[in-house]
This record gives sequence, C-alpha cells and structure tokens, in this order.
Amino acid sequence: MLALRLEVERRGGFQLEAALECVAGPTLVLGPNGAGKTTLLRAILGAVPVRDGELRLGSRVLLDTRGHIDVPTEDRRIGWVPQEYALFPHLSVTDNVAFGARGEGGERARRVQALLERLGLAPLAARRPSEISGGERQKAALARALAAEPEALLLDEPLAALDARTREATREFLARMLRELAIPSLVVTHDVGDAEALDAPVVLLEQGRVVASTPFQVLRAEPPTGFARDFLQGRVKLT
Amino acid sequence: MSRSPALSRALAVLPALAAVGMLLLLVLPLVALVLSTSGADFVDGLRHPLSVAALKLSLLTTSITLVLTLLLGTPLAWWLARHGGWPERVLSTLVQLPIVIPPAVSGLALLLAFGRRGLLGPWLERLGWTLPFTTAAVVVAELFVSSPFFIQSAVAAFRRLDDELLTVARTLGAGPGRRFFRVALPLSLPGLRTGAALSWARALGEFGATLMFAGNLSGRTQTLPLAIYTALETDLRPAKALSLLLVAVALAVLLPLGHTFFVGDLRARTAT
Repeated sequence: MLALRLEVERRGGFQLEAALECVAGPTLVLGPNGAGKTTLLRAILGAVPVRDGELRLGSRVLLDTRGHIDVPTEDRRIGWVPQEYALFPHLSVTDNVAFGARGEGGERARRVQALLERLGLAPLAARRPSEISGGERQKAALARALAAEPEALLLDEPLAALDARTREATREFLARMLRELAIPSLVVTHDVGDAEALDAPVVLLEQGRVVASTPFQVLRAEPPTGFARDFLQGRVKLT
Repeated sequence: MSRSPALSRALAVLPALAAVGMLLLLVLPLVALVLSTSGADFVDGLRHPLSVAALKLSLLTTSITLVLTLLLGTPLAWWLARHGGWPERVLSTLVQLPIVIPPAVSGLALLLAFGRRGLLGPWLERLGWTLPFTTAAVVVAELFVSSPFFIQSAVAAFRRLDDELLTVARTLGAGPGRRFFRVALPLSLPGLRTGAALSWARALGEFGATLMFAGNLSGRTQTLPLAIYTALETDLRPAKALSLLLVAVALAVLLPLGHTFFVGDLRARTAT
C-alpha cells in the first residue's frame, strides 16, 4: 500500500494538497491541466521538495517532514514512466531495460531477457529508442521501470504519445499488466478510454486538491464536477 | 527615391567588393605562407634543432594541459551547468575572462600570482618550487588561456541534457556517479570533444602568456610559436616550416567539425 499526505509548494504560488491511500493494482489520477497531477507524481518520487507531509510505501517510511526523514529518489524503489518515456537515446532497448535491473550477472541478464519477452520486446532488443515505434517505446519504458523491481509504479500519461490505433491496442495490454502486478500503480491520464479500460479507483485532482476519491464506475454514474462531466464525455484534450 | 540606373548598379557592387576585400585579407597571408615554402624548405626547417626541440616540448606540454583541463574542467563545468543564480553567473564570467583578455595581460597576471615575489611565491618557495621560466610554467600558462574554451563547450553540452533522463536514472537507483558516467557523459561527448579539440589547439598556439611567464628557453620553455618567433631572426626555414605545420594542425582540428563551423556557433554545435 502507498499512503501519503503531501503539501507541495508549486511555481506560481500554487499549492498542492493531497492525501491518498492506494492499494495494490492501478489507481487513476484524473484532472484538468495544471491541477497538479504531474507535481503529485514527482513529489511521490522525491523529485520536488515537499513542504509538509508523510509518504509510506508498505512498511517503509519514505518521507516524514516532521521526523526529518527524506529517502532520496534512488532509494525509494518507485518506478516511473514519464510522459515522453525518457528512454536513454544512446543505449539499446536491452541496455535501457537493464539499466536499473536488480540482481547479479547471469541471473540479472536472464531477468532482463524474461521481461523483454513478456512485453514482446525481444526482437527489438538491440535497437535504439529512435529506431522503434511509439508503442514499442512505451513498452520499453515500462519494462525498464519493472526491471528495477519497484514497490510502486507511477505512469504519467503513458499512452498520450501514441496514435489512436496503437493507443487502443496498448491500452488493453497495459491494463492487464497493471492488474497483474501486485504493487500500487498510479496512472495519470486525460483519456476516458484509458479510464474505462483500467476501471480502477479514481483520484480526481482539481486546482491542487483532491475533490473526489471513488471507483471509476461511481464517478461515471455521478460526475461530481464540471471537469468530470467533460472528461467522461471525451471532451478533454491534453494541451 | 529615384536614382539613375547606373548609380544603382554601381552601388549594388559595393557589398560584393567589401566581401572580396575581406576574404583576400583573410586568405592572402596563408596563401603567401604556402607559396613561399618549398618542399625542401619544409623538410629542412622541420629537421632544424630548434624545430625538433620545440615540437617535442609543445607536444609534451599541450598533452599535459589537455589532461589537466579535462580532469579539472569537467567537474567545474558540471557544477556551472547544473546551478543557476548569481554565484553561477559570477563564476561563469570569471572562468571565461582568459578568453577575452590579452595574452600579455595573462602572462603578467600569472607572474604576479605565482612568481617569486607574487601572491603565492613565498609559499611555493617554501615547498622548493619556483614556477616561472620552467616547463611547468608553460603548462600553467597554456592551462590558463585554453581551459576556458573547454569549460564553455562542456557547460553548453551539459546544459543541453534532458533533466528527465537524469530523474529517470535516479528512480532506477542510479547515484550521482552512475548518472554522470552512464547517462550525462555519453550524451555530452560531442560537445566535450569539440571543446577539448579547441582548447588543445588554443594551448598549442599560445605565445604571449608563455613568453612572459615561462620565458623563451629552448628545450625547456620554447614552444612552437616561440620557436617561430625566435627563428625569424636567424633562419627563416624553421619559422616557415613550423608555421605551415601549425596551420595544418589548425585545419585538422577545424575540418572534422564541419564546414559550417564557426567558433561563435559553439553553443549550437555542441547540441547533442
């Protein structure tokens, strides 16, 4: 379980205040642009300073501002798939995936290979990120995050960079993967199709605050805000 | 505004004339150098004892200077690239000063810092070191005038790095060392290489500061440019031969960087 209470000071004086508890499996993070979704993810990673708050992952305390605990990003064991994937351009798919892979020598190589195969990346193993398609890059970024055996996973608009067709195909695959993983995963998206495929608990963020925290079906039955209504009708675009 | 067609035609020629004039000025001296050096001149000139000593010395000092530039300049460039605010601005300006100030001024400043009666003079003497007029002084002078070129280039290259890549590396468990050596450095290599080439070429050509701080002692501090200057008074052949050699080296450094390369374009060229 990922549990947090965070107050983050953002640029332009905007504040983010969020308190969440996420169990294993996907959780959707929805909200208009500028609501603080990416800030929330980055705060969980430890990539932005948190003014006040706590963050617990399983039995580990990753952050406790009052108790002066702040585990550095490299030790938090939280995987991250950023919006444009941020694959290392100078490394092959295999080397990208192996970058943070746990284990030693042969065992490590075997684990990486297994992951590549599981995500259908084996034929592309030696290629560079610039030589593979958007959907393949998405999988490579996911594989890379998973190779480090994270205890939680954060995905920022994982399908936004894909064309409509690839998006639909990858969406099902992603939903299945996230459900299979026994770790909490937060998925930021602006696409109602993604939300429907994941059909997961929703955290609705607006203007730096959590305005709703309900299962997707409940949100759909009774959208609590104007944005939620627009979102469900597919009228929300990523800008 | 109406002009007679003849006048218009005459005026239109002016920019072309200006361009040709500038080009001649820039190219003529080098053409003269090439034309006035016969093959025999070149070979004899290179075999002259003055030349051999200078070649060996320059090669030695510029190599040491390059290694020191890379070792000491890279961490500084990294810091400058990753930090902002007024401390960075002040330091960046200071670091780039040697590029702009006259080499003679650099020479004097080095004397005042490291000379026997300079700022650090007494301390160095206590350690048994005198710096001025030694080969080490050549390295110091070359380092002073050339390393800013590398640092400038390195900072530009490091600044161009996508921060997201470094953050992702952190989430994958990479500490500062791994982040630098496995992500930042490989991706900055083109800019670093350009900077290293330019700084090496600059060190090779340094004259004024070396002359003032290290002196002009054959075999000890007489680098290629100093040897050329000295040879002018005795035998023109080594002067011409070494000059041609340095021009060839300059070409060898510039050509791989692309025919559209301009030194001022450094920022754009070091984009990875």
